[in-house]
Amino acid sequence: MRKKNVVSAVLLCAFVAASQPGWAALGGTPDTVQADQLQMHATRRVASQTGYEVHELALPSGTVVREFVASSGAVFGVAWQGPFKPDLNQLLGPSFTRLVAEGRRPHGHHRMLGLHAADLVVDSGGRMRGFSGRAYLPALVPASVAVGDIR
Amino acid sequence: MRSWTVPALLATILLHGCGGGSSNSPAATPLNGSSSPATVAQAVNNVQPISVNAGPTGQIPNMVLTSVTICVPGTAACQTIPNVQVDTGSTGLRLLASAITIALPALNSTASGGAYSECAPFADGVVWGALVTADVQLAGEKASSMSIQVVQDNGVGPAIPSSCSAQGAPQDSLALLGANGIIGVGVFVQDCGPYCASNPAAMYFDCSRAGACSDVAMPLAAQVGNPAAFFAQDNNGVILQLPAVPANGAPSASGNMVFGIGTQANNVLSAGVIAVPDSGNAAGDFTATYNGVTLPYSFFDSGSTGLFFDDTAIAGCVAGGAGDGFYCPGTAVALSPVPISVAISGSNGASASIGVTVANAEFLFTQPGAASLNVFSDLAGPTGATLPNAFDFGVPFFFGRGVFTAFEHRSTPAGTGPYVAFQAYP
Repeated sequence: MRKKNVVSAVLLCAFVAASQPGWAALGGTPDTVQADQLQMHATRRVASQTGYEVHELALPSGTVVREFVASSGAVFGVAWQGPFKPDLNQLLGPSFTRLVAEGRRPHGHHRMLGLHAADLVVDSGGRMRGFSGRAYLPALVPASVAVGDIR
Repeated sequence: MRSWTVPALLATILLHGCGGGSSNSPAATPLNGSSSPATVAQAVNNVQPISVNAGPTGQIPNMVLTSVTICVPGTAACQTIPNVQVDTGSTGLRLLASAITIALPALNSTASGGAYSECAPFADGVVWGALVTADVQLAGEKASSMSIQVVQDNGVGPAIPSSCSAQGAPQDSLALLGANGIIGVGVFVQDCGPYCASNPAAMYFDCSRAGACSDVAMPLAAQVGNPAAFFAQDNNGVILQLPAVPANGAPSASGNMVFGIGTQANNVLSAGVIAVPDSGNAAGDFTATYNGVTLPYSFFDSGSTGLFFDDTAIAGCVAGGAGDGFYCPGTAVALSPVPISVAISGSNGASASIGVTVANAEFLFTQPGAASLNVFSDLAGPTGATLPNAFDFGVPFFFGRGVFTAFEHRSTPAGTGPYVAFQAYP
């Protein structure tokens, strides 16, 4: 029984990997950060913080993406700032469809979009030539991390 | 009762974004109020009426709207489209395909012969659609044969590329746009600018190849531009003038969009000027200070329906209630106004404060007679983390003021753009 479950999980992972153009970072492993780096043609530098690492990807467009990796290996948050929005489908992975659903609901104006659920927080803001945003999975955020630092 | 600070009334405040101005640019010099405007040989009508209401959906407060006339280039085949949102926070004219009845020529690639489409990014999603060429007319002004975007809301045209849809939800309907289109008259002359002129940026696409769209670079001259920067005259900036509205709100407000700065007698930027240094970012923002916190990404924005800033001392409205997403100081059975002050400082050493008021949004939206009230000068809300380090001076700020947007690289009597400024309502 136990073994069967493991096999199923492996097959599932293989299926997910094959069905997506790239592996999403949010909720993923540090390997997915490298996938993002390649997909976005970015340079990367890593800064260590207490209990987590910040992988900063500098995109050719001038936009900077930061991915927050817990010591457990989980990518618990991502953030972006710059003249263009990054590939949010790549960056948010399975969570992206929920951001899209939120954006399909009529809303007041075009400068901010927030999705604040118990299991997913996404904030997207800004104007042409100046965008910023962040997303995190509350369940994966280490207790020592203030969510305000995910930026 | 609004709480105005004296400087806000007496001074004209000039704020420099980056990209052009520097701290020693001519705009940093106090403007001589007696300087006479440069006159053009034949002045044309440069005043376009604007109105503020709940928009064609009737659902969104503080929508600034105007009518835009588009024509097949060089012909009298024209159409006037009402209820187009006036947006100083973006650049370019974008109109719903379903609102256009004249046949505008597609903008084609000379290399491939295919047709160009655009993925215009906004914080809440993307605007996808084909580029066409049109003459654009407002008041007596005309921009000849410029690129505009047709927002694909009818399913006709190339499918949205994955690199576009990966940036967010398509805003492809009247309900989502809240208007028949957007006329962006921000500080930039083109929506993307130099980066897209030499790099594919998932913004411009050549949709020639077997129905597929390729991400391409786009020459500046063919990018979607700011119509007010392409007029034959009065093309260095725009002024939005709106009267004050009662604290409890009003059904609507009427004002003007005046083209040009210092080009005619009716668009002079006068009185003392305070210039704010560049904040080091590329979006034309300026630095404001609120509650002792420096906010270098602040901006004036007619496309924001409220004032948006973060202050944990002001209570947010109850989630799911009438005021959800806005501030609700005090009690929802009264206006409960809270005056606040935002400081802006100038490179000439002077500073000024902007006074605005935050009212209880739930009261504004549920007070007796609320069903007919659409326009509020004291509607404000938090940004959460969506606009870090910013004070978004949305439409409430524009009431009772003339707000100037000077276009990049364009000369005005107060210096070269980009900058933004304001003075008391005429």
